[in-house]
Amino acid sequence: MAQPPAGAPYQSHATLADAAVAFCRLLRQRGVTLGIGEVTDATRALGIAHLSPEGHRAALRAATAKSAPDLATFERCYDEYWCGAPAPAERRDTDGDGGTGTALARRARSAGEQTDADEPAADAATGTYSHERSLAERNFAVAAEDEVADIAILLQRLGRLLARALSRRYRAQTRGRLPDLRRTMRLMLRDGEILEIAQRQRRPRRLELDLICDVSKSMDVYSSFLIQFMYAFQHAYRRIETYVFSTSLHRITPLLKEPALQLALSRARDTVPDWSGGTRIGESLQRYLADYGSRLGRRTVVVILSDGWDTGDTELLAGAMRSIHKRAARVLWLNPLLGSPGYRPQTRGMLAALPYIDVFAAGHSLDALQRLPRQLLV
Amino acid sequence: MPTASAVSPPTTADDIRHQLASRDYVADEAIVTSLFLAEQLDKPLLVEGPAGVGKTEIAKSMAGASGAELIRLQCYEGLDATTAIYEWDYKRQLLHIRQADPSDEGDLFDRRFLIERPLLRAVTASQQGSRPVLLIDELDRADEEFEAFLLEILSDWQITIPELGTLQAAQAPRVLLTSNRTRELSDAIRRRCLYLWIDYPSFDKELEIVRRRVPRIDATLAANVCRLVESLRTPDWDKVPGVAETIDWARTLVALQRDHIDEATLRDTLGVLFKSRDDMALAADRAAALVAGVGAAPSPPPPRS
Ligand SMILES: Nc1ncnc2c1ncn2[C@@H]1O[C@H](COP(=O)(O)OP(=O)(O)OP(=O)(O)O)[C@@H](O)[C@H]1O
Ligand SMILES: [Mg+2]
Repeated sequence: MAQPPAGAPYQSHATLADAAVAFCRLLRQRGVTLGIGEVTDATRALGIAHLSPEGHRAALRAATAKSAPDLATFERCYDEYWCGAPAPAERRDTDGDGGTGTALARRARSAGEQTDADEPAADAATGTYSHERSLAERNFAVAAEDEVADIAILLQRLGRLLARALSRRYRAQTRGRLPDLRRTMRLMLRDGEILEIAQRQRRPRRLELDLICDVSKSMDVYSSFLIQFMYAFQHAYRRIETYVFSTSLHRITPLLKEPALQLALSRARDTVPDWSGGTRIGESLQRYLADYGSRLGRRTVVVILSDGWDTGDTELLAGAMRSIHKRAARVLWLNPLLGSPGYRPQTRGMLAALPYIDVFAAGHSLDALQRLPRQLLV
Repeated sequence: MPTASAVSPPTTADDIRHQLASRDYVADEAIVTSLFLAEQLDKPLLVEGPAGVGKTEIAKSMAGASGAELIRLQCYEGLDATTAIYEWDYKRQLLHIRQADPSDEGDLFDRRFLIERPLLRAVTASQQGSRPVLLIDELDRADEEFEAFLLEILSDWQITIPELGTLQAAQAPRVLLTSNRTRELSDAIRRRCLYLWIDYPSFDKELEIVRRRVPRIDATLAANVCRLVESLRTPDWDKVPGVAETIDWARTLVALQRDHIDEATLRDTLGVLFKSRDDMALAADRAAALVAGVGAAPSPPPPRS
């Protein structure tokens, strides 16, 4: 293994800080989230004398790589920066679209091209209610350009409503009370006798949700809608983690925390190198298991949004689904293609996954998504 | 000059290495350096990793070796701030009410009726001049609300009890947090801490652990135990055996006076390695392959007769 420069020239604080800043910048470029605190700690770590080569690496790691999925990136960056390993070739691929307009507008355009004549167009004259009604049933894939913005608003509202419905249901299911001894004591002071035991509410046991969305090419017409839905859901329901995948899996929970939707979407798109790329569901779900599998348990519901078109290893997919199904409380698979009449889940990937799915549903329209809470809880 | 803790805090990475070794804790460079850096930067250390890889044991060993008090806050779902700080001793308060003037509230919430829970203990210990090790174990099991509350404590080391006022620590304790990642901890808490990931040990490290913790074990048997457990660390199981299971299994084999692992021995002792029925059934199915895989079977006995 290559060594960090022994007796390195960066001894003054300024040069240590420079090295720390430069190294942290590299980490950031590779997707590790770092704040000023990490840079400061890295500087101080570098200032510690008499570290062995192993120790040098370990100290920087402890100061900058703060979660398990960041560790592999750290090792690569460390080798590159401190040991002069060659930088990996740029991975950003295929997406030639230089970012004209928002992701949503882009989707809208491609969706617009596919608009089928046999889908009745929304008639503005029929009033808001029926307009919303027809939007609710509209398959995202064939939404017309002028409907997209309205659907987006409805999706936001739906996401929030559903999240709240979910929290409420859970509270109702788990009503339970504990005696509040401190308040009882105070009541006693007042009354001199124990007349009632004061109660305090037991905390509701909430569901943990993991949403995993396919953003590969074949899902293009759906994924931006689904991500908006996930965004709204996440803003109203806290016990949720969101991931996207095409050839590899990325956790985007922190990105979706951004309060401005469009910014959140474009950040997510920018951070995920293989957006609209190929599909390796098996590999992606294996990654999910390896990096986040510890989340799975009796109260974790996993929702996968994908059309099941898999170009990867089907064995891997089946294996991953078996593990997820075994360890999670429930597994939902929302396949937008189910919304098209006549669709049969006969792709190899979908067939491999089916035995391990508790609820297989569409999720291609607002109406379909609306059924989600019931499906989550049954 | 406070005499509460006789042993001075470690000042070099080697001190930490020796301290851990003195408690038979086998630490690699990453563990030693992270603990050392946490000490130098005076920051909490967040330790994550799969179950049974020695996360909790680090804190115990550090405290034990330096003669510091170990304060352990075991997190669980529903753990709330007050329970982690203090509780009033209601039984004694009741007795007191029976005997005294019940209108004297100030007296009722007197310090002598206060039961110190871990976080308050960490503060009062520092006021008494010692520097404890505070272990916040399995934080992922507590709710986000508790995590947010903890974040405040970790930066201020100040605790307010409505009836008594505000208590301030003289010095922050050494803090270790652990998580099994049943949920992701917030970025805020990660930012506050340094980070250490402990994975399943390498073969050499695990062998060293077994030999330290089960000194009576035969060297070859120890190696075979580790090799076999290592081959079990695949995604096939509900619960992959951790170091704790390796040690238990090694102890069991020694107690049963086995000097090698054959298929029957493995089957008889599966319950030590696995906790779930499914896992035990699967392992029983694979017993022959597992034993063969590590070449743990003895050379066949010389044919009798
Ligand atoms: N590096 C080590 N050196 C010595 N003993 C070890 C080491 N790692 C683990 N052990 C032993 O393994 C057992 C399990 O360790 P510990 O309880 O610390 O695991 P843990 O990571 O906290 O697990 P959990 O996540 O289940 O709480 C302990 O009995 C400990 O003695
Ligand atoms: Mg533990």
